[in-house]
Amino acid sequence: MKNYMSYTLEDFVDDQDFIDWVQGRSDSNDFWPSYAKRFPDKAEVMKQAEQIIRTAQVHTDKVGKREIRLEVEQFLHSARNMKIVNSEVKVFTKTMLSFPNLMRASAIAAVIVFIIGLTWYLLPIEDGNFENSISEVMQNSLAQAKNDTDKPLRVVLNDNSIVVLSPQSSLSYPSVFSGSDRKVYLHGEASFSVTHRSSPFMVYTGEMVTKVMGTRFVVRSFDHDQKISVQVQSGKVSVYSTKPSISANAMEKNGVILTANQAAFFEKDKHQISKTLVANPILVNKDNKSVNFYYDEVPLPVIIRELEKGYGIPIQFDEQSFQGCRITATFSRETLFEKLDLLCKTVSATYEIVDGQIAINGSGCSSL
Amino acid sequence: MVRRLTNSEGKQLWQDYRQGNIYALGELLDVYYSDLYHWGMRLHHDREFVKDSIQEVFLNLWKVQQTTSSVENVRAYLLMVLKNHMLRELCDKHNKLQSSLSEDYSFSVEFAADFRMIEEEREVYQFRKLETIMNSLPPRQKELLYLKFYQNLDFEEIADVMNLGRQSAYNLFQKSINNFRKNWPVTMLMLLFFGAILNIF
Repeated sequence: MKNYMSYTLEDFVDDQDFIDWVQGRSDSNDFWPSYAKRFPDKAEVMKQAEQIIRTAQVHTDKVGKREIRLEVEQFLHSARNMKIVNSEVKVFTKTMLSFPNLMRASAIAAVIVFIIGLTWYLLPIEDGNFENSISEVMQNSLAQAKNDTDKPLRVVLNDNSIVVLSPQSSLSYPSVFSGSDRKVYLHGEASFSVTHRSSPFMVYTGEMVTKVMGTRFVVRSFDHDQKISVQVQSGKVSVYSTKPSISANAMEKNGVILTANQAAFFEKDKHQISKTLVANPILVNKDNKSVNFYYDEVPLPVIIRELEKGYGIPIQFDEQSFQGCRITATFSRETLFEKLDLLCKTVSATYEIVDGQIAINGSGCSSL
Repeated sequence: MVRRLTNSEGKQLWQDYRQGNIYALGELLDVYYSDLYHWGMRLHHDREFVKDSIQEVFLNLWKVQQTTSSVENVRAYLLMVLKNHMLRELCDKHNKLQSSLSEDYSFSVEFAADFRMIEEEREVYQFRKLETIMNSLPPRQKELLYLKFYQNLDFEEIADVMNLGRQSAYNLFQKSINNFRKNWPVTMLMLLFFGAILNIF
């Protein structure tokens, strides 16, 4: 507890709460004025402190949001092209073929030949993907990064894509990407920051493939999980099953396209992919990043359109019936779902997540 | 004024960066850019030089990602690193010894009172006087006031950024406050006193 009764000029000027109040950043606007009333003999020194702080203002040099964004992009670009020193990535390549290894290598080769033969026999033309991926394994020695620690492990791939491998996970990847696509094989969980190239980047996880052109996303596929999940932070990815669909009707269910803040689950037993949202959507529209959403008597549809743009998530609702709802609110760092909870509560509506989108239901407000 | 990231939000991003998330570092650059740029411009008024320095500092952070430790206040830490980097560069540029610049560097800031909500003429006069006093303080005292009121650092952090002990930082602060005390333009008491005299007549 601060001893306000004996506050000196220095104490006031050093008190961050007081500074915040003078600089208009404080939540409790009444404390200091009421303090001055309670201790009238402190009023003058408090006034002096206020004047000092108000005098110590400096004009801000303007750096535009656009300029900052360009600087950040430039940084990310140069950082990606930089060699990381002291890297602890454990990579197991199969290049050194000592005698026992050679034995094992030929054993593996035999198994692979067997699988290829079997696949050829069962699926004459159908499964080109699978065959391709295996022949690539043969040509291009696969490196493997395995994370046995309890901390995430960073792996930089040959195309400068970055994979952060979660504990108890492993990733197999060609030491040099060649050919028309970039394929990696994941067990467990990893988050990917993929560099943009003309060749697609594909993550194989059992029966599901995630295909991207350059983006950030997380794939989770532990053997013990019933579901494989993909969460997209930015960009666009497509997720599909390697198994051909049984009925023509299920065709659509076998592949989905995800954009920022959307997620897909692949249910292993049903071979079905469903689309939803990530647990905590982030703002994708960087322009809005540090700006608070401030609304004064604004129609609900306007706010919703802004949220839609900010998070890049489609929101469905009946624009007409909500037109009459006027909202006064300030949002800062609430999550999207907290914002929606608040908005819906105000107009007694509900929302649900359907197929990677948000649907708001309610009877709206009668416009007066 | 745009709300700054809280200390714990900054720390979380720093943690993510240390675990190899380049986007976390990019985000730190994004949220702290204006603060760092403003600070850099106070130390050396050359836009391109300041912008290059910020890039170099962040690339360097990425380079040593595996060996960086956790920090208490990310913003204060970044201000310190940027300052050290800029002073080192300036030394190289002017062929000077590092030690000669570490204490004797320039710091240019122009304090300009916030006149909103000031109604009375005599208060404006008072602010003008305070402005003059503040702007004629020695550079180190101005730097301290700037870090305190513009960057909102506490004394621990100010001491780190200014390469001083915590006590020396506080002494410097007291010195500048005493400057105001001594030269306080027109005190409220005097105004009350004059008011009382006027009332008599």
